[in-house]
Amino acid sequence: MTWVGGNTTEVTTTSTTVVDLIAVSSLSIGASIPFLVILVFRTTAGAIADAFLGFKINTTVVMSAAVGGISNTGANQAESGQVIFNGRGTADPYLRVGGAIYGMGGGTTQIGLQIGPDNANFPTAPLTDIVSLGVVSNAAISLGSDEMHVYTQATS
Amino acid sequence: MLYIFLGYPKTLLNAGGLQRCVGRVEQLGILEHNPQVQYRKEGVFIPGLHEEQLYQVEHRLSQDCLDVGITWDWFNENWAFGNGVTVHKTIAVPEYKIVVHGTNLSLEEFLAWRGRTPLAELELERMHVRHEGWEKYEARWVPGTCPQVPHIVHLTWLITQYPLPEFAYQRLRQVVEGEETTLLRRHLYRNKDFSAVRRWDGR
Repeated sequence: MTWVGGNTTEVTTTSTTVVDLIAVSSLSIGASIPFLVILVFRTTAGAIADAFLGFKINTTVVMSAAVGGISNTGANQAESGQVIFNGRGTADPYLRVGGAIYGMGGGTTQIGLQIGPDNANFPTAPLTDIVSLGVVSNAAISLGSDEMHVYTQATS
Repeated sequence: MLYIFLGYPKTLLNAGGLQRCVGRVEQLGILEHNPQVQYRKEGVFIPGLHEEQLYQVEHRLSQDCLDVGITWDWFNENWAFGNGVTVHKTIAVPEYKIVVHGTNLSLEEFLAWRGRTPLAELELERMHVRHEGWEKYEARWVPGTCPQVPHIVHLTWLITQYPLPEFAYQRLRQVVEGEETTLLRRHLYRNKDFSAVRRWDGR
């Protein structure tokens, strides 16, 4: 998709339960079409606390913002990182085709992982909304995120 | 109680900054930070594997939201508001394609169908592709209010333990939506309480 400009000021949260952070709506990604989502995220200092990111497609959580997923290091420091989440318009029997890789760090610590999909199949209807989810374990820190871009890829 | 305001806070406070404003600086209310309380479109839940609905959502959308066409119906099924403070954005971009006037065929498709065509007989136009994703998105708005251009909807919401008194609500509305709001006791804010305005001209 082509974005033609405007205010892209970051989103932020202090929510200790999962919240919708950035939604890219008005999409139409059909069956078997590969897609790629890129976004950056950061956490502030304030406490030894975790922050997690996840993803929702349409209304289904396909990657939980929870322990074992995309996270900060948990240290009391400002950190920043980038996530690449890839997937595919769902077509039976390939129902959980997707995953994420990310790296994040601050100070002298860093973390990075590859994450598989959650315990829910991707929606089989056309993908119309891709939403990044976020949560912090302590409201003394903030989770910020920005520059979320969705790309679809050619199949021939 | 869920309070939803339109736009990124004009004071440039981010979620952490607004939390500081509501709590320590202006003492407008008590924010909900209980990790066992998650606000969603369908209700207030204890999240987790064995989730349980606690009660219905009480919400208040600002007049600015209603004026631009954002009502409670704007929020999708399973929308998560979490708790505390969140500055959210939704991005929508209409898709266009160049078609031969009077058809929905691209120039290439038209030539493949019709064969050789004199250039003078061709009239091209830019057509908005109203695919399922766009139709679904547009239906969230009050009819006739959905911007038909690429746009970002910034929303700021706060969840408090108790309903705010009217003076506190109006002050909060001013801090988030007010054009020329002055922050009280500004020295109590830290640099990290503000986010820089970022603009991208798309080039």
